[in-house]
Amino acid sequence: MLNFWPVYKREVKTYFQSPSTYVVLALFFLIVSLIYQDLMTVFSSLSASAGQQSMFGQTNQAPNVTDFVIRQTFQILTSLVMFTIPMLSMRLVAEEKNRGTFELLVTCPLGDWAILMGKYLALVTVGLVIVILSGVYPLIAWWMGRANGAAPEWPIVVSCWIALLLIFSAYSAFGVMASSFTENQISAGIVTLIGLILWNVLGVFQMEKYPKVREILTEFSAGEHTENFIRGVLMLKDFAFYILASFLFLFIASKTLDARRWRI
Amino acid sequence: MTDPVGGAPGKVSPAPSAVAPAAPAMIEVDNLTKDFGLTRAVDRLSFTVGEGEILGFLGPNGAGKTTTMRILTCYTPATSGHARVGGFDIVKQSFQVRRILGYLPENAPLYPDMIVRAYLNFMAEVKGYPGRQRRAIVDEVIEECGLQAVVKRIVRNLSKGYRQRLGLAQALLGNPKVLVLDEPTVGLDPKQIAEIRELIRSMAGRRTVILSTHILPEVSMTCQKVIIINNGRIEAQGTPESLISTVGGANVIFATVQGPAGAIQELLRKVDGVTRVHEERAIAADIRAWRLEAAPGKDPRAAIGEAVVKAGHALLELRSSGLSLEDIFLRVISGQSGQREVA
Ligand SMILES: Nc1ncnc2c1ncn2[C@@H]1O[C@H](COP(=O)(O)OP(=O)(O)OP(=O)(O)O)[C@@H](O)[C@H]1O
Ligand SMILES: [Mg+2]
Repeated sequence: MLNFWPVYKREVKTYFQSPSTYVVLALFFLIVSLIYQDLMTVFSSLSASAGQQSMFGQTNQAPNVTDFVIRQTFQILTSLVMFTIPMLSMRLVAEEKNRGTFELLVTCPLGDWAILMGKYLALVTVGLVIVILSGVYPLIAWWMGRANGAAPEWPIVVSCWIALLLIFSAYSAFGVMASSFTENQISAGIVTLIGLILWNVLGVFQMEKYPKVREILTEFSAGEHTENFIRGVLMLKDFAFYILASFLFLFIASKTLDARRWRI
Repeated sequence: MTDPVGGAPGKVSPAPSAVAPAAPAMIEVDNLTKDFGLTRAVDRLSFTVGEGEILGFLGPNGAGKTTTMRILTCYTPATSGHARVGGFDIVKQSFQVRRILGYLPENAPLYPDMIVRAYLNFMAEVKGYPGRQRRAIVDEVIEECGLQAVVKRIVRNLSKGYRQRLGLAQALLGNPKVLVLDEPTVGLDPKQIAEIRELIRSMAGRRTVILSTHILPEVSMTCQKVIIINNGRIEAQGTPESLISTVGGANVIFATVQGPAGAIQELLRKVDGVTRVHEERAIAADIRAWRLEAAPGKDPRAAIGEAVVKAGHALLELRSSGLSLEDIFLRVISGQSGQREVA
């Protein structure tokens, strides 16, 4: 069933032809770059001082690029993605409903799934571009450190960047879902942002009296399943978590679109 | 222009698949009801439209026209009742129904940021036409709807008339058997209205069309069959002519006569066949326009002329208003005549 293709193609074009996408991307990379630059400054001064200390016979270890730069950059990227997604996803279905083109699409011989899939995959494509472009940060780290042989551990870089794409996809599905709830883009954006923040802080609550509940919440929180990726370990269950989450959100979205058949 | 097929339900539409029974009608609606909470938008609607027929759906705001169309286009299901389009059940075979159907929703929704040709191309793609066919299909509707001049323009910058045409073009993609057009001429200037009507009229016999409107002349000009709907119920249906002759009853005649008002009124009232005399307006001190109603099936114009001239007054104008669908419409929706079946 490739009938999501026309919708997908149109959405991808819309993304890459719209100035707002570039504004969002520019903002994203500006913020990441500023933080990254700080990170690199601190990192190089730390390694310099570690170098001096070792001259005096102390056992202080030099900070590791992978730990200090790559993993922290990954954390920054994932948290910024959380703020970026709502801006990119909010219009996807809401605008279509608001303009009435939704009625046009669903009365074509096309399933709701094709529409949702097309939109979701278009956003994931933007995500792919973001993930690829942010590959520049590990490359910079490698370039700066190549003199003293402090290269990042590439397998960890790769697994982190896979996790980034997975997270982006799951957040995108959430955004598509929120956008299908309403015909008001702004509400869709706000719901997405709040939802993503809540999803991320699920594991934060201590819940000392109910360790079991805490365990479950942690298990379902958005960030929890990046732990293995950060260590460079690829586990099926982590993949499954993000992919199933995407499906769940898209499923809810399709049920929401279907609701016109019984409610309105 | 193709010769209109005057309600030819005898023509059997080719059964599109083995599951679909051979249907004499392209659209069959049976007891369709739609509730929104406590409001009943559509109330036990039943009608059929033969292949190649153009049906006008006439009703005031909130009558349930859009709702009925949304049900037929599988956008939203009915609360109860059944309908078949091209022999396919709109609920169980919604996919097949949508395949043979072109729909122009109310207000012709479009993607404002697309180029006209790209938009049509996109819609053709969504409707499932593969790349090779698509170009020809798109060219065809551009031609048919007179969009050649704007193919490279951005939809956002199109005039209302062109938007409406683009919406219509989109509905025509792939030459669907059934067209559902929700208020296709709303917001257009008179010239464009005439053009769109001509376009729709030219489809008679080739496509089955349902269009909705609250403009009366529209249905008499473009449709072979009219359904007057109010509060979700069918108030009257039939050909424009049969509606006029049966529901309207009266044949309306306008006469302008010079002379004393009182005497002329008396005189007109006495003419054989005239049932009502109403002074429309005074044109000058002694010239008045009169609105006369004649008994069904009678044309007392000759008698009127003769009587006026005989009495020594000057007859300045005498014409039959032809069909006064307007009167029928108002009468029907204000509940004077109740449910009528004319066909
Ligand atoms: N989504 C909806 N939710 C609740 N009520 C609705 C909905 N859509 C239509 N209605 C109600 O159903 C009735 C029929 O509406 P509909 O839009 O079908 O009328 P219409 O004949 O198309 O009117 P118009 O000429 O103004 O377009 C109205 O009373 C309307 O308020
Ligand atoms: Mg309407």
